[in-house]
Amino acid sequence: MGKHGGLFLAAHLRMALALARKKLLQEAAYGLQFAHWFVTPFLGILPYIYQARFFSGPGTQGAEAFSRWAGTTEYIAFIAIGACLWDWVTNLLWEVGFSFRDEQEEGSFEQLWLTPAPRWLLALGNAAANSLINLTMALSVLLLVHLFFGLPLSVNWPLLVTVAALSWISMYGLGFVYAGLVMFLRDATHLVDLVNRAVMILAGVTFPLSVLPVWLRGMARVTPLSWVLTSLRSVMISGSTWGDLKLELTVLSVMAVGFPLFGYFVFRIFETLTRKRGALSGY
Amino acid sequence: MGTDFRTDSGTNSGTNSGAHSGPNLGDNSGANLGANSGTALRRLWAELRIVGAVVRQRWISWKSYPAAFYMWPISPLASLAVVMFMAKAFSTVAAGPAVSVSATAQTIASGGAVTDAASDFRSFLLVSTVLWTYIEGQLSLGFSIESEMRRGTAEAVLITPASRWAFLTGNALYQFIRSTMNAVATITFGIVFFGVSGFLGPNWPRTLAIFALDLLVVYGYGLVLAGALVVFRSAFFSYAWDCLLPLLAGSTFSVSVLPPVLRKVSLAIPLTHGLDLLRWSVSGYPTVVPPSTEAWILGISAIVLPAFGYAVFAVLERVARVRGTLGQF
Repeated sequence: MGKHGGLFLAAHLRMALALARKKLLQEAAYGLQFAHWFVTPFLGILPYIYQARFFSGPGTQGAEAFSRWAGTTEYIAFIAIGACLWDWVTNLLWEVGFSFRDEQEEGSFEQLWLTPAPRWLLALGNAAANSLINLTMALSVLLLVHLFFGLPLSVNWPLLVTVAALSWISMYGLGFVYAGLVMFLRDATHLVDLVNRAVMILAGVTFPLSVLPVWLRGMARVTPLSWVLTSLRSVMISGSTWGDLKLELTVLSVMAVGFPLFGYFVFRIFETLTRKRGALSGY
Repeated sequence: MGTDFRTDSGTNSGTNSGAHSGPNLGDNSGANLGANSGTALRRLWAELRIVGAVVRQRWISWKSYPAAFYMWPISPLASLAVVMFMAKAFSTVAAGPAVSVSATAQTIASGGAVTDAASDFRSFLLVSTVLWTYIEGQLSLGFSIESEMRRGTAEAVLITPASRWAFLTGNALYQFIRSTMNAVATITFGIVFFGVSGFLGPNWPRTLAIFALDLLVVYGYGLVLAGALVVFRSAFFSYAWDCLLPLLAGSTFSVSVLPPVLRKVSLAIPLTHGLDLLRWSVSGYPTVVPPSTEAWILGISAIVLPAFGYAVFAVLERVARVRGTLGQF
């Protein structure tokens, strides 16, 4: 039994590694596309930074006005870190969903889906490579922002790792809902764009949530991404301690337990609906 | 013989030159002209039908994804809201529930970046956002070809007898329609939610003319990027340009805030002047170089860039054909 269990686990690991290797090979085959993952996120952040400089004006009045809303005059750090973390979190969210979409477009989804490999493993294995790319990308962008704009980072590293890990698990769990939606609705790109833009407001990526009208602020409080961004930002900019983030850590922990279960449950519902429609290979 | 010959010859000659050649010349040239113009008209009609078919195909493809089709207004609303709320965060006046972007304009004015301009800063942001919807649309020409390549239909489309012009114009027209939908939604949201007034400024014909020239410039960029995609089989250049352009051309800010090195690069991009001129026309915001100079740069670029873009696309597409890589991705 123990031996079989070990073999079972080894087989699963091999499957996950094979899928991850396939994905990395695919990405590496398109050299320029591979470079795009590392260059464009940094370029994407720069317009927000210069936009903020423009809004702030040459004096200190703009920065002081900003601190009234955000609690810090370091608006470049606030926006740069927000935008960088936003990329990281949204990529996490869509990694699972996009991996299926790619398989659908390449015509290999149905074959992959009909193999005896468990569904969750297919989702996770495919996304493992994306996670590696995503993490490297986020770290390199943060490094570049730090080098070019001298971010005043005062980080409690164990706390940052804890918050990042809880965020990772939560967003991956939520990613299963998106994966199910992608499978069911077939097109992810437009949906990604729409949801990303809508949530960009509710998560306060480039501005403090306090500038939102009251009714939108209420919606922001129940948006998981706003908790993730607020917590990560607090740790990286304000140097928050474990005690400062009690509420945030509790919420993130609940999300880390609840979202994967909820996500997988919703995913299976969408999968069943898609199968019944006979639309697994359609896109 | 001689007579006969002469007679025949004369007769023939006369007949040929007069009765035959003359009427034929007249008939042929008329018929040829008619036939030529008929052929030209038929060809034009055929090209226009191809353009229409491409637009229809893209529209049907979009419509077949109901989630995207019915929720499209979210995107323009979000784009505008993000920039408006960001501006509000720098406002020196504690605003109530409504966005007080004019206060942001005052912040900038009092800071010295702007002196007496930007009387209504919201128009500045709205017009920038609207133009950007068109810019993104035209730049996505490359993405539309990437989509065809990914789905394995690019080769089939590009080797049909349909001209490149019709294929590209169809895609550009589809993007223009989508961008116009987004622009209308953005303007409506700007007026309803953010209280923008006088969107096009007092001199609206001038603003619209600048707008049209800007679109031609962007169409040129889109063609070059589409060509690059066909050869390199990667949308890297489209993605990179999509990221670089908002920074270098100053999507919703003046390039005067860029570092000197970037500002020099920025001023070498015609679209920078197009955006700058448009905002000057709408809200009287000071331009980085004199408006007349920017108008010349924009006008010349609007003529040269689409032609240049088309030529580049034709050359790069031919390279891909010769290599036999049209169907690869």
